Amino acid sequence: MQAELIIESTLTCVKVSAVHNLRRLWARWVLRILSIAICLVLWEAASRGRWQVLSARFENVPAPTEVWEAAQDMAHSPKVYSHLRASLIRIFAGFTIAAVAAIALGLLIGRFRLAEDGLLSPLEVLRPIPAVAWIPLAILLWPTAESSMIFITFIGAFFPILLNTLHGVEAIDSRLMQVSQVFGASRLALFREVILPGAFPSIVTGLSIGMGTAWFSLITAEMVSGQFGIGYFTWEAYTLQNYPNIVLGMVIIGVLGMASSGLLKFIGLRLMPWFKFGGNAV
Amino acid sequence: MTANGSVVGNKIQIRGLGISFAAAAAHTEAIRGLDLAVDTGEFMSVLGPSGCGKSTLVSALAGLLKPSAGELIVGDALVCAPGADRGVVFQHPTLFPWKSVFANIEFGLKNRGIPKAERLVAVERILGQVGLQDFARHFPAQLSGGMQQRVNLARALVNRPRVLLMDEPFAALDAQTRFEMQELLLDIWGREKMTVLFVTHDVDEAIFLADRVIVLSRRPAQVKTALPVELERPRTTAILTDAVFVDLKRQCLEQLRFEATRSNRPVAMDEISATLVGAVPERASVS
Repeated sequence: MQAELIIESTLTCVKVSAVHNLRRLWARWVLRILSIAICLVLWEAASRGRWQVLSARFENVPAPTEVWEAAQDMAHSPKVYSHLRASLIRIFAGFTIAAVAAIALGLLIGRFRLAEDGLLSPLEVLRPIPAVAWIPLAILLWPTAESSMIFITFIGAFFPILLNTLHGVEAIDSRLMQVSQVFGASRLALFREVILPGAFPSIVTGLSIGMGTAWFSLITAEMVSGQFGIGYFTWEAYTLQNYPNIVLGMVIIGVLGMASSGLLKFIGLRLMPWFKFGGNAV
Repeated sequence: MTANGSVVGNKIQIRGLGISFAAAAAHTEAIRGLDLAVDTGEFMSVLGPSGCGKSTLVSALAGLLKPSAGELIVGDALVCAPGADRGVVFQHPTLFPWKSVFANIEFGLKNRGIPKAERLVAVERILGQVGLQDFARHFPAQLSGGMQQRVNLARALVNRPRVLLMDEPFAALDAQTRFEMQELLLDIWGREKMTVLFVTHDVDEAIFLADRVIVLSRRPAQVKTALPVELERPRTTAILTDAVFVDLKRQCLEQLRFEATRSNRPVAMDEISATLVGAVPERASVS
């Protein structure tokens, strides 16, 4: 009898706390959405009221409602799609070449001392140069604006991927290498079944960071030397004094960057099902 | 004695073994003039003061370390590289985190080019033996420490090694799990009768498992004593209080204490003498 009572009261407690948790979760989401709404309202007020905060003037900053209208206009014009397509093709080309080259080099350099001494030194010299600083030389180096922009994207993505791959290879537990030897792994098996999966989480991190820097580099290149592309669109909006489109361009760049990094992470996690159980440490 | 007969095949012979490490400034001699033979199908435990080179011995037999003197013979072949004839189980499970339990165990068979169907049968069989048949698709990180060590054991056993080298394999496990693992190991050894060299720092474990217990000297390691364990098999917990067991334990601890006193390791000495007399450390009685 008493036991039943205890069980019942425990069950009630569990139910109450579950409801309580749900309410708290709901409250947190309300707060999150509310905070974004407040920011938008403040922004709207600032540009409509032509606020001046310190020396920043909001009078030329388009209000969120204006940006929204511009977005609706743009969705109906075919021009935006050619801008988007141009940027996406450049990102895809530059990033893919960078990923293939940087992963291959990273694995090679991380694995063989000869490759480390022969290849890493020139790369280390080039590494501190920001991709943007390559723009003038890239224009001279490549025959078309298109290829020089792809090159800048490539440079932007290359180093984060290379360094993370390298780090991933070097961080593989040496005991696992010994175990592979004990169990008679050939060089190919060692590479395919130990080094590549061992470095994979780090490679995915590198790809994700590289995607961010690739967008950063491409947008700059498009602003400087572009025809078409979302960076060019944003800069053009400024020169044509179509101010809502500046913010629209910024928003599109942000969304594209977030989506492409998110896609990479999603694919990465799909390819390493072990990772969610505690990474690479066992 | 035929060439492929098990009588020749499974013996470990260590002759005049010497192993040194040349670090930056210091030259460390881990093992010097070690002679030891483990008979076919024998279960030998190796005890020794900490840092005496027990693990070095296992690494050398596994073919991961090159001796600076002497020779190592397993079966009728000189050890010069890792090989499938020797299974190795380290203290740390060192499973591949990205491979499922099944793939981890399968790894050695795959490297030897065993066809897929055969691999499947062999892995399923060993999974059953270590009681993990329901965990084939799990990743190592999803298993407890004891289960991981079972996988580690299975990964070595699935290759049906003629010689099993174990370096403190159960040291990191809790007492209950360790005992289960010891029973499991004895059970499998009873059926397969491979030659086992089992390094441990746990005197009870060494005696409980072995046909013969070897006590090594402090560094550079040499064989100090060899004690035959004349206790009947299958071993049960009952033997832990058997007079023969207690006497062997006393002898092992005396030898270890002697070695520890010779060395400059006051902490290790305290630990061992406390175990020997079964007393609490002095500091505790003062307070």
